[in-house]
Amino acid sequence: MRILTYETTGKKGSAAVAADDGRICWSASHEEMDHLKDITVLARQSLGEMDVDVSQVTCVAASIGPGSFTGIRIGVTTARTVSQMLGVPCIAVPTLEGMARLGQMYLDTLPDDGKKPEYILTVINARRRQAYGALWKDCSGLPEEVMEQKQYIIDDMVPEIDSSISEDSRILVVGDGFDAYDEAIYGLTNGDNRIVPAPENFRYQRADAVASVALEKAKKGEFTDYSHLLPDYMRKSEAEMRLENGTLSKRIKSPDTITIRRALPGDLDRIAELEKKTFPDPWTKDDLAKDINSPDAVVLTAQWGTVFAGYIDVWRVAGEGQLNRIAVDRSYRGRKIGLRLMKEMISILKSQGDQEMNLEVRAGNRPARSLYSKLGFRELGVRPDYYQDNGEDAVIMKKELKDND
Amino acid sequence: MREEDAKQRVLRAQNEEDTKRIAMDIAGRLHAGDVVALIGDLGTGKTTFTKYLAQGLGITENISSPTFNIVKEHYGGRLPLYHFDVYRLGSGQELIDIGAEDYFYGDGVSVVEWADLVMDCLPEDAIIIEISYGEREGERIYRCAF
Repeated sequence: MRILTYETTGKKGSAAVAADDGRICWSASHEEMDHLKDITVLARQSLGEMDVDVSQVTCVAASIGPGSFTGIRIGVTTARTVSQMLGVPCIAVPTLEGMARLGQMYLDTLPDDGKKPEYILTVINARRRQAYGALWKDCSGLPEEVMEQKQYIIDDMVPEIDSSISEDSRILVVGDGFDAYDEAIYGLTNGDNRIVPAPENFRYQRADAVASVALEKAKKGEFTDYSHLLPDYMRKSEAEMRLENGTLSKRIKSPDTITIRRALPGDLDRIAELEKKTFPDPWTKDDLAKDINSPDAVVLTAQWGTVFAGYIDVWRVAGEGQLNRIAVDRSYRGRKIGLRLMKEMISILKSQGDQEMNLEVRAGNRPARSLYSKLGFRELGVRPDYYQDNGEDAVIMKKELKDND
Repeated sequence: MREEDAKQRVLRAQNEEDTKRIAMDIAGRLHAGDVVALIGDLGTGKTTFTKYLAQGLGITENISSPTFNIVKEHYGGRLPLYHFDVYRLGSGQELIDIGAEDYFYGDGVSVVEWADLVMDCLPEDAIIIEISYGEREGERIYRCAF
């Protein structure tokens, strides 16, 4: 068994070759973010060091993410291509597992004096207080996952670590998430005495650790066809994160920026007031409150800086989103708030798997019809004399929510 | 930056020479990892502004609108310049999906035209510049928050 391995998810790319006798040779880039340029050279160097010809490679492994989107794609695509060319299978190695193994490799260099960390925290910086992370227990084989590999808000992950393991246990920290969030991580109970940051050469993704994991997976027969070697970005969509948090960006901006977030009960009064100002047949506060709290409705608010400026209300039924209301305060018109509300809504409906969005609009409302049309809505027909206040026709419009817009 | 601290400066340009001066001055203060968010309607000169920003960084390459490329990379100056135009993107999410964050948090200066369309996906400390028409032809007003 000769496993050629690629690790391109971090700042510096590397490649490795592992043999079933446990030997691993590896080579890393000296430059940051040069994965595409370096990757074949690094692979060739590793093969050379192991004295393995490329024709002897029996399997190709890749670190599949999370990490840099572009980086992940370079490694995974290269692995798939080489695997296809050589006619050999692939092995997918989750990046965080490779990093946990790297942590183990460091722990193996430490004396068994009772002060060796029992746990490994792998954490990758996902910006804006987000981290891709997991907690692992060191053991004789591959590390054991104690806390799930996923995207965390670092400020929520730390207390979860506290409640998962004893407050005496020592933790080795691996990953650039430590560089970004060391303050939060030291915030663990008794953190100063328990946290052991991995030294620089064991802190960031390395292909030899990935290859080591791949060897174990190969022994268990965990191979995959190249067409099934896929990236794991692990990243929640912006829309999902916003739904989770209320609002993701804590940035307090200059007044010239728009924030869209899910409506909260505290917004009810503001929304009701704008509803009354905008529509001749305004919904009641009860109607609005029902939708804000309903799992079948999505209500978003827009803020211009810190000022409430608009909202949108959609009902979701059987895979379709029905636009009920969209209103922007007169004083904030002309700033693309309506456009942003619509775009966010479309994004959320897509992320929840809805197939289409439909709406009706007054025939005489040219700006709105033009906006919807620019967003990809098609006019389906007309309901004559639809609007009771003035007998205006309604134009029915529909948009398919396909992946590529 | 907190709202209390964020000063908004209003700079007026009576002609393109003024715009050049303003842009080159701002360029001199930029660091690696800075993101300049340009907000302004069609014709307000976002690309022109970027051109002078590039000059201020010592980049001699021709700067043209990245509307169809989404991003263009320019080297040879004090810092690399990553010039984005997100007009054609469906959402801020698409910007993340194409790996824009590697640029934003990387080793150069990112300039994003039509930044208002993707504002929530830009870094917390993005430098926001809103460009609008002045009263007379050729005049522009730059509202900068930094």
